[in-house]
This record gives sequence, C-alpha cells and structure tokens, in this order.
Amino acid sequence: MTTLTRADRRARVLDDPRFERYRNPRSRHLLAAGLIGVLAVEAGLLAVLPQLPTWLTIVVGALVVVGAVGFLGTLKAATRGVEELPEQALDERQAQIRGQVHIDAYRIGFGLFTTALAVIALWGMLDLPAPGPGLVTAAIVVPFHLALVLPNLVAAFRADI
Amino acid sequence: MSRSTSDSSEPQFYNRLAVLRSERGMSRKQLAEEVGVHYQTIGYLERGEYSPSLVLALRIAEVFGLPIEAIFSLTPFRPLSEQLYGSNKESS
Repeated sequence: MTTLTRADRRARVLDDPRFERYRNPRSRHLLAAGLIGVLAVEAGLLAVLPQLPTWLTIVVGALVVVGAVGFLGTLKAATRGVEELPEQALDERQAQIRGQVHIDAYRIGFGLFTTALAVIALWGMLDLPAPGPGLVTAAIVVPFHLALVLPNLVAAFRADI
Repeated sequence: MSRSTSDSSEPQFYNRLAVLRSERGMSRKQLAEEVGVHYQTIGYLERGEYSPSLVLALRIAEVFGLPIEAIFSLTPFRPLSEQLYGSNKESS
C-alpha cells in the first residue's frame, strides 16, 4: 500500500467532486470577480481605517477575511489547485497549464507594479499632498495580497483548466 | 514540450483513444489511472486539444498493447470500417 504525501492529500482535497459545479468558466469568472471585490473592499477599508469606529472596522475586517477565504478556497478547488500544487501532484498537461498561468500572472503583476511606480512618481512630480497612513497601509497590504492571489485569478480565466 | 493544438503554429494531432477505450470497455478514469494522468487530460487528448509527450504516448500505447502509430497520428486516420472493408475488397 502506498502512503500519500502531503501534496497528494492536498491534490485530492482540491479535486473534491463536491466542487464540480464550480468547475466551469462562468462559475470561475464569478469567483474571480468576488475575490477582486473582496480586495477592493479591503483597499477601501484600509484607506479610511483611521476615520472608522473600531466596531465597524472589526465587522468589515471579519467580512473581508471570511469572503477572501471563501472565494479563494472555492476558486482553488474550481481550478483543481493547478496553480499551487507541486509538480509531482500534477500530470504533464496540468503542469504545462500551471507554467503558462505563472507566466501570465508574472506579466500582469509586472505591469501593475510598473503602473504603481508610475503613479508614485507622478504623485511626487505633481507635488501632491502626502497620503494619509490609511492610504499608505492600503498601498502596501493590498498589492501584497493581490500578488498572492494573482495566479488563481489568471487560472480562473483559462478555459482548459 | 507539447502544447495545446489550439495554437495555430502546432500541427493538428489525431488519435484513436476514444475508439480503443470503447472497444475495451474502459472509462476515461480507468485509462487515466493506468497511465498516471488526470481523467480530464484523457478528454483533452481524445478531443485533440492536447498533444501528449512521447513518454505519455508510449504509456498509452503500452496499456492498449499497440504500436504508437496505431493510436496517434499527424494525419487523419481512415475510418476503421473503410480500412476493414477496403482491405477485404483488395484481398477478394
């Protein structure tokens, strides 16, 4: 009897047939849209954080965490974890798709990073007032989270996943 | 490395996987388990949307006990009925 590795167990969880109804382009697009929406709410929340009452911050923050975990987890299962599983857990077609997903995610991320640098440079050149602490936090935290989920978002838009 | 045949620079790829599977009463899942790929990949292979690596093609040929050229081809296969009756006509 063969012993399953951690990667094999993870692959089985992500290939769970209970998620079969999400494994179609429309569902994956909706899940990706939901995840982008959660990131947008997170950005907004962080940007206005200093002005918000504590209870509202906690409530919205909890909703963001629950939403992010729900959308991301379901999206990973909808794409069978092709963007995160190690090579030995994928077959050759899936490994090839994963390679293409990572290349596309890298290109999109590079484009977004370049745009962000351009905005910062423009901000300095126009001598605009310094952003508040909320906006600075959002500008650091949200790109970090976006970088984490970008391969999932790219995978969601592939028809052959 | 093999690529999806949706890329126009790649040659069109033909196969007899579906016929051979059906002949042997084998499901996609069973064939996938025998050759060590996901069942979805068998579907992509059968539809000609994915070209297998040489290793995968050899594994599939081994499962069916046939030479690789009997399963995969770069040119369309003649229908089996045409091959069968065509050869019968020739021999008679």
